[in-house]
Amino acid sequence: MLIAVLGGYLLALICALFYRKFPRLIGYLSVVGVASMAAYFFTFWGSIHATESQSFAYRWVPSLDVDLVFYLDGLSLFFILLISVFGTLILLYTVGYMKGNPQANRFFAYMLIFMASMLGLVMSGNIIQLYIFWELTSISSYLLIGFNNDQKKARRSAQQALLVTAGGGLALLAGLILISMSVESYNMAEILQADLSQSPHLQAILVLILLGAFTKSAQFPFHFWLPNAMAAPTPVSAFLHSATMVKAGIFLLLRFQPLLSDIAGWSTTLMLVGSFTMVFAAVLSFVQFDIKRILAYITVSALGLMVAAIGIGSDIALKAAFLYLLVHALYKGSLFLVAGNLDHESGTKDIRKLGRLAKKMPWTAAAAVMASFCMAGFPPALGFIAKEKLYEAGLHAPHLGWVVTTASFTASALYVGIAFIIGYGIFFGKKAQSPPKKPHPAPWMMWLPPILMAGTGLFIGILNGWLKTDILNPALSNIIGKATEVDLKFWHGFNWVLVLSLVTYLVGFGVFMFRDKLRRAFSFAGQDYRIAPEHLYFKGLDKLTALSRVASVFFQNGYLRNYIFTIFTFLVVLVGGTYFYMGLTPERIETSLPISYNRLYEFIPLTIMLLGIVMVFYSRSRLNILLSASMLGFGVASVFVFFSAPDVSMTQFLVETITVVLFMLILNRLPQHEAIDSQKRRFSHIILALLFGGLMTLILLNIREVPLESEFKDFYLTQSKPKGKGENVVNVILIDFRALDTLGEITVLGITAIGIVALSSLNIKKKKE
Amino acid sequence: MKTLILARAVRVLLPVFVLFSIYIFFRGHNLPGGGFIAALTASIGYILYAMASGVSETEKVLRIEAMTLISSGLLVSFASAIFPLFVGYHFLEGLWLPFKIPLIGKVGTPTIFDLGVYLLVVGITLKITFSIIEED
Repeated sequence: MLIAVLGGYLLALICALFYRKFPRLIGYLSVVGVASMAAYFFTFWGSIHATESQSFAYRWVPSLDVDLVFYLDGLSLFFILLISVFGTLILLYTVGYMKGNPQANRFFAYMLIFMASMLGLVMSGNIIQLYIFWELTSISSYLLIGFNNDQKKARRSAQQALLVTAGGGLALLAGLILISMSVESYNMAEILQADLSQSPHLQAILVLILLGAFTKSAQFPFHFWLPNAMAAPTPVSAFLHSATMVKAGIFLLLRFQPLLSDIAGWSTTLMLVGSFTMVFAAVLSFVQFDIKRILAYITVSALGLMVAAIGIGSDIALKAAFLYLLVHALYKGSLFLVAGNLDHESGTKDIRKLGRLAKKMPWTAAAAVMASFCMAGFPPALGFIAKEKLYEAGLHAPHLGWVVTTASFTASALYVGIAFIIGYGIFFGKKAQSPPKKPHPAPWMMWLPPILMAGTGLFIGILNGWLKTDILNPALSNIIGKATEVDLKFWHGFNWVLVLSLVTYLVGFGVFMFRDKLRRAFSFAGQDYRIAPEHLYFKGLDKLTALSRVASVFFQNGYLRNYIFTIFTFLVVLVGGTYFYMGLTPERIETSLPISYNRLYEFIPLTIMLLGIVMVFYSRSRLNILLSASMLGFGVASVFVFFSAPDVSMTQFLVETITVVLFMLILNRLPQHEAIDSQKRRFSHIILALLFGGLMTLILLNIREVPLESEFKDFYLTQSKPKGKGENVVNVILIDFRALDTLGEITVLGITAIGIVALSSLNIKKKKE
Repeated sequence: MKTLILARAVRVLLPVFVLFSIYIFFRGHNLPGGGFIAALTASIGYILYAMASGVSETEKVLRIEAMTLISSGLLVSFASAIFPLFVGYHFLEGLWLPFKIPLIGKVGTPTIFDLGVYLLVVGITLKITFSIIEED
């Protein structure tokens, strides 16, 4: 199980390293690898019934009592199979699509990372794990959208998707933590059994979890990242942004539906947001000409449809949501691959330039027609059943049912119209302009996957026996919370639902016939408005950049003296504040100097130091200031000699020497030394210096009162020889007893060195320009 | 700051600095000294050399790139920290050879750890100095 889930990461590494050397071999290896993962998951087929679940736990961080748990129930099994089967098909497609792309190794690696993360997400057995995989899918989506990183648009879209989805992920994390605080468990199985109704954080949990789900599943007002994510290569759009990743939000809603659906506001919010998104995005889809954007908006709309259905919450509505999830993955994955073929073979994604392609790309056309059939919801496609269920659920909903019904009717009619445009217009209809490339048929690995997907969507409704009992029933039972049967019947008798369906087809056909006029009428929807969420997003982003610029100009103004001033001010305020807040005043201040006449020589370094200080004040050149200050340093170093700390003293001498030398080297480059001219600034510096010095003195006086004996001291002194094999306690502490600290310190030093190299090479570049 | 006297003197003194730093390194276990101090001693030698004869000359004498010193220092320290894990002890646990090596004394993983510190500190002081001098 662990290998099956995490094997994707290993495959990703292999692809990243070796793809360039053996492109075909590694490409097919990844397909076979994912296929075998799928095969492994198929062994669970039929072993999970009704509301059962299985857990696979692995020790992860035993000291924190955190385990890696894979939780397998009907719902996660359904998603696993969806992800791994789609993964296989889409990687096969990618082998053809990415042929000859010099960056293809990166692409395969990202795709595999995403797939493994997505598998981890749907199988997460504890909620921290759920969050980690959730963000991993966001990050891999970011990398994939920005795959063509030489294009500004791709980079911007990637950043947008990351900020929106990962930001939502943070809200999700907060929500999950609140849940686990209420239930006192991180374990998914335990949480799903728990009763949340006594929790004091109910409303907060609801808002946070919904934020996570809505951002990931592109619900209004967070929908705008998904159409922009179409900057990614087509396999990404098919896999992440229609079939799997955007379904993570739906997965989350379905997963927590039994737990959260009783909270006030859950149902209403989901129904309203879902319905609005459904209609809004369907209209926007209709006015687009770029086929990928058309499909992207339909995805947003379809996600809204699922959200609204989950909001209704009745058994039949959940069935509708769930079936539509499967249907949508099948037809949309297929259509995206078709769009990829069109782009790849004819060089354009503009539907005005595409037409009469059926003869030139027969297999692609077949896939497109079948998928459109499914999208329009004609029988016998599974789409028909899903749509009927949705209408039925809407008509029988206890409240706000008319909203969902109206919305789903409008959206479905538009789907029918768009299905005609894609399935008929592109392949059989006339084109307005000619495409930039003469169309070629696509290679087999590029038409087979869409055919398989669309064919499944079209015929699975008929051949549904095995699918139903082993996958759909357990998955649905998990969502609903009790053993449930899925009925995939086409004929329910002549009733309102059927009438509604027939009217949908008629209106949809009308939309297709009058598409140009309607597009003009609705063109206002596609414009950029000042209050549009995307506009606000960019405005916020600009403001944030401006703010950080102001902040960095204020704090990092290039004057060393200002940095030191700020640092010392904070030190004085924080340390001094704590000091007096805790009431740590020294009890006894010695008034007489502890002079013993046989150690008068100790005054020699002290005199030197005092002399140094005075000289610093009266020096007018940097060199003099430096040398006077170093007198202070060397003086301190020699004081250590008298207090039997030769190690410290040696170190201090050496460090002081090197500092002085380095300073001398830099002096050349500094501008002319200027004394602080402003009286006011001078004054504030003096005050700060006095405060800081006074604070240090106080602390030293306090330290004197702390008894010098401690068990650590005894431990180190007695154990140094037997355990550390050395008599120099300081050194033994450094390299043996506390070697971990030293290891951390030298690592930091190494990183500093890298920073210095980067900075100095930056300087050289500037000079050359 | 290229003066003939300093350049000649440093050329003679450099081996002394390095030898002395090696001495300090090994005496560190029982008497004041150790990797850090030894590294500073050695780097003062090289810094003087660089001031007298320039960076490129010093790099020739040093033979190894400062950055290589830094990374290999880290590597040596980490290796000495991880090594006990492979022979069934704890991370960073000190393992010692059972006998003394003449002139050097007892040798164990902490000594190797200290060697890593030594290499890294020499590397970083020289890297900083070189990048400052080079900019002229």
